[in-house]
Amino acid sequence: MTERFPEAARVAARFASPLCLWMALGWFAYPTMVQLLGAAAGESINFAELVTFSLVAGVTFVVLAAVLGAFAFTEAPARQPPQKIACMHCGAQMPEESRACPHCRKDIPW
Amino acid sequence: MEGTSPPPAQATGDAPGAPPKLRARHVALAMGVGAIAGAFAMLGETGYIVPSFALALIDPLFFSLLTVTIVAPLVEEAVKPIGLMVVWHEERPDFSLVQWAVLGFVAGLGFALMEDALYMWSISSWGWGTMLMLLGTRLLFPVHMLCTTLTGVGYGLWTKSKDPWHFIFFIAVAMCIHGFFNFAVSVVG
Repeated sequence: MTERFPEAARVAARFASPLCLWMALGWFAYPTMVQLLGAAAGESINFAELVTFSLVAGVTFVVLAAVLGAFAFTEAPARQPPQKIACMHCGAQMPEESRACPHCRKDIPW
Repeated sequence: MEGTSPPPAQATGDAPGAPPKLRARHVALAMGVGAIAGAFAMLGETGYIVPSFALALIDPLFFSLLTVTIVAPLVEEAVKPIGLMVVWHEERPDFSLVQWAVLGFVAGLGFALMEDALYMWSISSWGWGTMLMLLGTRLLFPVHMLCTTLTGVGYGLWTKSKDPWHFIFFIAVAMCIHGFFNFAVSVVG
């Protein structure tokens, strides 16, 4: 794993945190929606079991959202600026790790 | 990947040397391909029924659990990021990880909306009330958006680090989350 991995994990957490909160709200509302759907379909549902599971899942996702949020917005350690190299096709400067030149868009062999 | 001829910088609409912007066409491509992938994924999952028909006869419950917890996440998570790959192969944009995550999110959104529409259509005989209730229930859980956002970050990291294991790691995490979610909903619902 490269040095960019922690940065990627933070970006993922920044998106996942609000989505986990959305998921938690979904779990809290799930029993009501399933009850309505069950009534419309004429099916009986073990409601007590559903409520217990949904509450546990909802609380779990709230905790997960908080943990991910705390991780995502914690100060990341300072990173060295990327080394620049010249493109072999047009000579423009670009980060060493680029796979394609941002100027001429041609592939840089790995 | 190599040997293709990407378009010149002017064709992307960005100034030479400037960091590329996420444009409407990138979002539309990711979302549109995600939605089309949704329809094809359903076909792919239906195709799985043919070789595993014997299992369905022996143990229908195990068969359906296997389908939703193993087959569906593997198929769906594999096809959702195709739009992102198309964007990369067409333009080679030097997007930031956040931009790749946004593209992943919209790809998941497109997939989810197509899947919701197909599920609504499948119960259309039950009337609009039930269809809208099903849509509301499904919109409670942004699992497709969450998983494809992770895949998008992994794909973005791959384009920057040249290491495909980054993409494999993130897509594997997305598949596990998706499978676990489907398992939970199947068991409890």
